[in-house]
Amino acid sequence: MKTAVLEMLSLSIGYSRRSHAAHVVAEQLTATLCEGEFVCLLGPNGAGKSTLLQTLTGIRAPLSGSVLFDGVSIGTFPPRELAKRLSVVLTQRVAAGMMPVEKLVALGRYPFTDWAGRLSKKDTEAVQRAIEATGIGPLAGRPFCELSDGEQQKVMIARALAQEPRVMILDEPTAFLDLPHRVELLHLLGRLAHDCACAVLMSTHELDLALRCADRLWLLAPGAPFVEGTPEDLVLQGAFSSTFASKLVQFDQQTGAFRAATQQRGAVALQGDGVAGMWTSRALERAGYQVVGAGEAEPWVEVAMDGADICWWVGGKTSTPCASLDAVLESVSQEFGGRE
Amino acid sequence: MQVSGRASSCLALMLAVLVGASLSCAPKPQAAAASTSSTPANASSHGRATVRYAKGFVLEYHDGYKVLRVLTPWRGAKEGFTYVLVPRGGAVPKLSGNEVIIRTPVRRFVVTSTIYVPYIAMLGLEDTLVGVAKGRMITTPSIAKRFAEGKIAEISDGSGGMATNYNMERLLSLQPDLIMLYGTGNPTYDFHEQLHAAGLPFAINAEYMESTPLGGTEWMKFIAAFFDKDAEAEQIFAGIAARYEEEAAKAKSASTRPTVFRGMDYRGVWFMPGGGSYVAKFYADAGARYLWDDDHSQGSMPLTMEAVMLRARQADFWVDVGSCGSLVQLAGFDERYRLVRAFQTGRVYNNDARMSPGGGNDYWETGIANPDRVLADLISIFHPELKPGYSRVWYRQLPERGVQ
Amino acid sequence: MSQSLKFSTLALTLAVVFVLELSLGSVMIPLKTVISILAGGQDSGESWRQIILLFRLPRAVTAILAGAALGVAGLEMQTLFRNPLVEPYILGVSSGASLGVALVVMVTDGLGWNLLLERAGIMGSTALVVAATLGSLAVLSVVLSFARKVESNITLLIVGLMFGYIASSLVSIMMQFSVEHQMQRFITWTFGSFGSVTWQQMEIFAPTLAVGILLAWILAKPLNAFLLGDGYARSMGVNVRRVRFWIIASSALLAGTVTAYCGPIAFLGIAVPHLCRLLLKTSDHRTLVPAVVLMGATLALFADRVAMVPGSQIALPLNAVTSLIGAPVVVAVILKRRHVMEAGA
Repeated sequence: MKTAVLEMLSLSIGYSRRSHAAHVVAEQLTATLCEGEFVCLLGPNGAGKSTLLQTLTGIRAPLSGSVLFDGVSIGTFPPRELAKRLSVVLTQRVAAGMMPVEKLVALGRYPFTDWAGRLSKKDTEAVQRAIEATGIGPLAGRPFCELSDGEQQKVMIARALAQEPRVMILDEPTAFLDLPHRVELLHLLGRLAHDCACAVLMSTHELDLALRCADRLWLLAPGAPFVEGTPEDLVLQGAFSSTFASKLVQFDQQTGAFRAATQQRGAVALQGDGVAGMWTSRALERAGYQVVGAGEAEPWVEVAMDGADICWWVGGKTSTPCASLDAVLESVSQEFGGRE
Repeated sequence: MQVSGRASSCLALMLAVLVGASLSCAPKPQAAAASTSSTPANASSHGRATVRYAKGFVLEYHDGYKVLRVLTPWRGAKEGFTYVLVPRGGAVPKLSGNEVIIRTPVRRFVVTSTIYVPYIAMLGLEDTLVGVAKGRMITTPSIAKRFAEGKIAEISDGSGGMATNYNMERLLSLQPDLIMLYGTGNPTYDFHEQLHAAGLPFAINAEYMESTPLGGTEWMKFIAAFFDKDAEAEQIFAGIAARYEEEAAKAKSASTRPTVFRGMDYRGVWFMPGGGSYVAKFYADAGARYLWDDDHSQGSMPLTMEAVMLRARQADFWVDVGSCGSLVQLAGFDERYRLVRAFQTGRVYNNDARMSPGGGNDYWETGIANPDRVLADLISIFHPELKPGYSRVWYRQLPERGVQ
Repeated sequence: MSQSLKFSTLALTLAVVFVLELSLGSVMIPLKTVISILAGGQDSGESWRQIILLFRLPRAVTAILAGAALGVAGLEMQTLFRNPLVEPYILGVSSGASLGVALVVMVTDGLGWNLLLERAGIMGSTALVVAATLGSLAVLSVVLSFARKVESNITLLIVGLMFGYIASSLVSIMMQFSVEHQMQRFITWTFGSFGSVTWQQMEIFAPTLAVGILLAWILAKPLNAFLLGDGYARSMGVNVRRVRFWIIASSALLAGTVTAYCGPIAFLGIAVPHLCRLLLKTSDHRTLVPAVVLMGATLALFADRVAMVPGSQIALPLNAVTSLIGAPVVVAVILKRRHVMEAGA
């Protein structure tokens, strides 16, 4: 049984305004963050992810309900004490100029150091561990501004880690990063949660990656109840479809991805598997065809691998060899064109 | 940035330029007026008027008109002004065309500075004055009275400082025959261009450019010419000059020449008049040695307090201490003033003994117009033995503490 | 070059400029004499002793303290607002001081209250100091009260700027109605000067500035946190509102005191922190504060030296010199290091 670190109980979040009724962003939020878990918070824009994170970190007061840290309401913690337990990584780029990476990570020890900010042996060790865990050792002496965006965010995570938190909360940390860095970061966070026995809660738009990496998902959607659970459970329960339902987009349970709801132009039978088969299927789907099993429809496409070479056969009225998927799509289109 | 940055940098630049200009400016050699005819002027005599001390103007008499030339209206001026004074109904002579025609005698007179006011009284021209700027500062009694009675209009709009604004509508409604003002060559402060544009008759008076006290006062002849009071002016001035020379001769005979300096430090800058200025001449004529007489400039030099103290530490006398009323107040501005010997011996004098209720200092009115009496004041300070029983008019010794 | 070597170089430069300031001026006083006078020797001429001890030494000390204070205040403001172009007067300190001084120079003098002030023991330059201080405090108290209520730094900046403009307009109105000598007195005040602080005034001037600099030194740790932004600072346990209050208060104490005694002095507050960041290649305030103290003192002395036009009796306005030195420095720094444009670099 995992230890619960951060709990929301019937939390209602939003903005309070003078002389107006408070603007409620979301309510009846109940969930638990446990040690060692990597949790992703998903939801469309405007659903209130940032507001929720601000409420959980204590910046914003909840409209009702409570946030408990180790069973104690976070409102009762003085800021410094809370800082020793909870650290954050934010979206915006930090303009730390020429500060060397090591010094920046060391800032994470802020709640623990004395008035002059001097690092004790314990502090230095924590900083070192954080640097190693995030793999930024080679960057340690360089000025922050000389790093790439991805490297900078890793440094910010290292800093948050140096704070030795029980909970690390990240607000869309991958927003400005390119794909390889996003993947790297998510994997890193998952590893950190497990290795350093802290709870990591991250809000993100990266559905694919979240589905693959997160231990649990929290789904926040306007007008829909808050759901949370393991990713696969949520998929099978249809939570994704309902949360992200829209006329133009559908969640495909099979592939675990979102698809634009394109016009169906007809069914194509596909024979062939493996990597080539999968990508052929994707190409056909993208072109708007429904892919069915071999023999179930005409025209058909057959994929064959000859060593390293791939060749396709498109059959219907005639059988045409194709050397690339481009040609395959051409042929299939002609097949359909011929029928009309 | 607000007052600090940009504005002060601009002013700093201006100051630097002013300093540079005034330091590099040697006094221009002026044509000495030939003392040919000394007959009192009237429209039918000829020749140049006798102008012995003033170097800034020339007055010529011709048949039926007078020509009045202002040679250097301000520092760095490339050309002067020429006025042709023609009696009403008289024919305007054909001259080069650059002159300004003024009809004489002037009946409605406006002045932009109270400096010219005492001459108006001395020449008995009170009735002609219809407009003045900052009238409540006037100290000349007869004219102050007329101003208080509303017989003289106020032509400034109440603002002060260096860029006074004049009320053009009032000026126009006064229908003056002549507006007298001085120019500085700086368009921000100068007003004559606007008068020119409005078609109002004006004359530039460059009295302040004179480097001797008598030279400045002799400009009463310049003013008198517009009113056909040339003879009176000649007579009055002759008296002033004679008395001045007499006093100066007395001072020259004194056995000592005490040292003197003037002014105050303004936040690290001390504006000290140059050795070629009229102030220096005053002190020299009063039998004192001005501590900066080795310099020959006519303007003021911005000195550091350190530089002043180096020379003035042992000064015998200290005069013209600005707005200070007492020694205690003076030391309040800067404790280091106590180092000056003149301070320690209490020989500090200020020229504010005669102030009008409106805040005007009579030194700058009657004093300027009567340099012989100012000289007497100064001699009584530097050489009291030469003036036993003399009661100073504009100068007073600074008391230890201020009195109401 | 190691940090300690750089610091030693800075300190050495300061010492050299200090000695030059004492030795050069309207007369050149030889080095040996300067040192002997400082050491308390009585044998040099009385006039030279007076020049050194009563004029040049207080001037040098004032320059050192003022330069250090303005540099530190500028550093704090640049970090707080995460803007490299911010100067210590940004919250209206100098306009408030101008307002106070204008009131004393132009209004009370015009009303003839000088005698009253004399009886109250406040006269001349003391009156100016008091007036400038009260003026800055007035503007600042308004700004600080906003600081407690307002989250955003931008709002604070704008409030400060607006009050600055209000104060400046009031001053312009007063200038319209003043007499020549009053206006001249006021304008020369705006030129800035290190030469008007006497030893008596130093009794208040020096300790006040020392307190301000000490405060900044104590605030070095939270200032470092502020480099990452309000969000991160708060997450590290910094009480953002309280720390911001103290940063503004200490910076205002420094800038306000210097302005009250020396008039508004341009550019030292912007240029010095940048120069130090460049030289020491760091943003860590624990290193920067002492560096800025040394560099600010040196630059101020140097500017004063230039303004005194060695070898002549003439003086240039101090603000003109600091602007002429400071502006190119800021431009060069910004052009050379793109990263300086990132706030608080």
